[in-house]
Amino acid sequence: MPALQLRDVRKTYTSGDSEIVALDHATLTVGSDEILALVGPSGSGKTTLLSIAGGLLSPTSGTVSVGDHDITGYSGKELTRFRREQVGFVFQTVNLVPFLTARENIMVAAELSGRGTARSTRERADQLLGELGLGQRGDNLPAQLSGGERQRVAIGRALMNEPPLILVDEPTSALDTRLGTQVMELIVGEVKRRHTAAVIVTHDTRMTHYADRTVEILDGTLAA
Amino acid sequence: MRLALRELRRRRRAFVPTTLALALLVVLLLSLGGLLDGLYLSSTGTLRAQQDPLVVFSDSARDSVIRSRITPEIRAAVEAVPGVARTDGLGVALVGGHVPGQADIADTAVVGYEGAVEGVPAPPPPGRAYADRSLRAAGVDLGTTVRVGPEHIPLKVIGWVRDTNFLQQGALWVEPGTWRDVLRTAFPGAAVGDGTFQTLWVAPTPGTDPTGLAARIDRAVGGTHTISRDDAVLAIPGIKEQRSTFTQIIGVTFFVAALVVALFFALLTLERTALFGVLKAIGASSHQLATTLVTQAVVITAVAYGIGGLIGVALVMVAPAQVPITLTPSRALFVAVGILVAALLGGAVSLRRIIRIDPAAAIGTGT
Amino acid sequence: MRLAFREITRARLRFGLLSGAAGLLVFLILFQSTLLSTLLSFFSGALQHQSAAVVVYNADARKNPEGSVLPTATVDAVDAVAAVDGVARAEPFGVDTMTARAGGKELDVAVLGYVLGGPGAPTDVVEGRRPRSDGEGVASDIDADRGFALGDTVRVVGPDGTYPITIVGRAHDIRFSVNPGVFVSYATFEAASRVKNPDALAVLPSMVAVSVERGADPITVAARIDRTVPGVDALDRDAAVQSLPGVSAVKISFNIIQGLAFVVVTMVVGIFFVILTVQKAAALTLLRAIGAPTATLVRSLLVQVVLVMVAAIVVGTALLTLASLGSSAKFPIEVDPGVVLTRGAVLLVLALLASLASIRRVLRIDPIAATVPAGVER
Repeated sequence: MPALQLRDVRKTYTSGDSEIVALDHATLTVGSDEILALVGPSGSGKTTLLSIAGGLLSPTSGTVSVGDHDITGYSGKELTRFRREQVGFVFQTVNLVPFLTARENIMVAAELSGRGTARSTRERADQLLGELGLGQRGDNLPAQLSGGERQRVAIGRALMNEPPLILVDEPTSALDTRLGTQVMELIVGEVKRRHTAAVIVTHDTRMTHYADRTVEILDGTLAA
Repeated sequence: MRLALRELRRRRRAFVPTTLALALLVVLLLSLGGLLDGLYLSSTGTLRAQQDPLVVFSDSARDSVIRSRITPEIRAAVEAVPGVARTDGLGVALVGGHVPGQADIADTAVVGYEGAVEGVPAPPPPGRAYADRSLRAAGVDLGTTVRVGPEHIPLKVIGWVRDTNFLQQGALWVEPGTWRDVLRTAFPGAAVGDGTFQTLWVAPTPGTDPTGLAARIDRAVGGTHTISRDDAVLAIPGIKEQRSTFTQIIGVTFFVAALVVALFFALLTLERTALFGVLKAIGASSHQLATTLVTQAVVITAVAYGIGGLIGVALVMVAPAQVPITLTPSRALFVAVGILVAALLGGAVSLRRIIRIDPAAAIGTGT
Repeated sequence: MRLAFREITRARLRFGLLSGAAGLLVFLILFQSTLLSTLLSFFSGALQHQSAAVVVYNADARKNPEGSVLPTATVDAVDAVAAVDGVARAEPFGVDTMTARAGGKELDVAVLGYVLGGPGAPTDVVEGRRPRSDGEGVASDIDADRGFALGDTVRVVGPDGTYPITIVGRAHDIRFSVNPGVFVSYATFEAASRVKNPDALAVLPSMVAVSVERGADPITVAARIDRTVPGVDALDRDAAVQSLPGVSAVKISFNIIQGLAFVVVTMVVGIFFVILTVQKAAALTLLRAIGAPTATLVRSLLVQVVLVMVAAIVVGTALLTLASLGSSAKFPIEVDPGVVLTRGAVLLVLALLASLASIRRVLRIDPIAATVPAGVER
């Protein structure tokens, strides 16, 4: 069972009189423990594709399946639940809730699923903090963390509910080469360890070798 | 300056909540002030209109217009005191007035006078009266004959006067004999003889110190208590307590309003920390940002005052007749200044934050 | 729930400021309420706390006891009223403001005379007893240290002499027209009136005090008296109090001010939460994007509104208590738990309604916005 399956997905917007095609006939399959790098310049539609895969957008036409969930026709409520349990999303910038500590940010997804008070949840969060090299930073607020540390907390948050699919949007765009390498190694390490699938969007070709497969996207169309 | 105005214009929606909150506070303050002024003015008009600066009461009356009695003998004694240029008698009878065609009895104050009243001509012939404009709401008009007291003594309205009411009752200004008739029929236990008034108003000769004259009158005549017009106004029953109560309430309201305004401006600044950081990064000085803040505070306050003022005026216009609300220019000014000061203080509090904003941190990527 | 608390903990200053500001506004409402009801009781206390369920004025008096005299020459109003169905007892009642000497000073006193044993007696006697004979009186308790304490003698002053009244009882809240009130026998009232004005042709009662038969409704009885007896204006006690001169104007003003203050508090809280919601739009969008149901975010918001309002009510009540401790005996500020609870409940409901504006914003959040890079302009 593939972790992600997009079939002939199209996403269009109307602006005034004209129609903008953000994604055109995108067909893509990602294996259950495959890491896919999605590469393209800005405006190429990669964020749109990621958003559709992550249940943040519904396609204009085509079908989307994550694991054995066909989310194409999901209602808002169902998508919310889907995002909570079946997907881990690391966004490009706004990733952390400013008034929650690193630990609380990691745990928030579990809390939203009703498992917040379980001791196992907290233990898992601490374990993740350790794996991410943030063992001492659990009680810090985002404002007290460096950019790289915040990135790692976001990764921890995405992994917390053990979703079958991780989606990462431009993880290294704000980091220098050394930090960028660290983050990519961390993501890949964690994903591989859990035998989870991941789609990593990037325009940084230095990082693509971390992925199992690279797909290019340009002007809303995936390269063959 | 230009930046300030441009931001206000282009990002109008961000400033709407604060402006609205301010406008509401303006309405509250204007209403409070208006009610206090209205209660005060409609209770004290008769005495405030007196041109003579001193008034003589009988000392057992404890400065009550209704209870005081000045007989012709006392009057003669007062007039004999050096420094007294002339005297004018005044009396008030609070009675009900039947207005033709109206079901309700109007609250009237029949005032017997001799002269020296601001805005009121010389006393009319017996049976005629000048009516206070507020009686319009009771259905009185020029030519109306109001029948006052239990024996329905007719008083024909031949002219208008304004702001001359006593204890919120509409004044009807009549010659002394008519007033005595009304008093006798309405309050037989309080009837006065011919020539007797309740109070005697005294005009000092030019160059005479009124305070000294007051003391001299009391010493010379005995059994009197002479005070200034302002003190007589304050002695009207209920006035002191009403003023004190409302003034305390207005004071607390202003204080609270100031704090709320300050809070909103502080929040407004907080919201724009990133913006100010970017401006600093591109070279704006703290001083320029401060000017922006002050300009915006003034403009927002002005707009809020405009809106609040309009609502306040509308409220005054639609208020039913029994609600004694009056908007005086001095009150309007008082509120305007007060609110502006509060806004500037609030902006000042946020000023410190602005000065401390680090431009480098502000343009970093978000969390 | 947790989210709500955590946010408050991490933004203590903001929420503290809001609770403080709202608390001040709550204090304002309570303070106004107390001051104005004290002021009103100064005007009308004696009429409110006397035993006649219905009072009957001269129709021309426009519901003003001191403007009302009942003519005895024509119809005997008291007998006519007593004959009306539903009236248990009707007696003359006199009210007049007189100059009196008390505590070494001369001041105005409202003398209220009722037929002993009949309607019009003071109802809230806290110390001592009601008058049993002429020359005795019940005074208002807050005037005790002005020469109206038990055993003091108050002298009504007139041009030719004085009339002594010995205070045998103290009652709560019986001032009248802002002056200290003293309840005496009707005969005492007549005698004092004669001392005040020796030239008076007659001393007439100001109104008829009426007690109604058991089970009878005062409002109905009053209406019946109006219909049956000519030239009079009958009112049940509450209506009479409302209609006292000065009272209705102050009361209407009071209601307007309180209404406005309620609106202001509500909108300030509502507007604050809108600002707050807008400021944390990014965090809210993120939470939605990672799967937080809208209901959770809305609940969180409501919890915060409730907490802020409760804190504000506590702050406002504390301030009122401070004010009451510092208030003078002449103008006491009382902390009435009933008032605090009712006003507080209304404010809570209004604040929740005001939070609808913020809720709307939360509902409008589209989680896709989480994928848009954050910028200065939002």
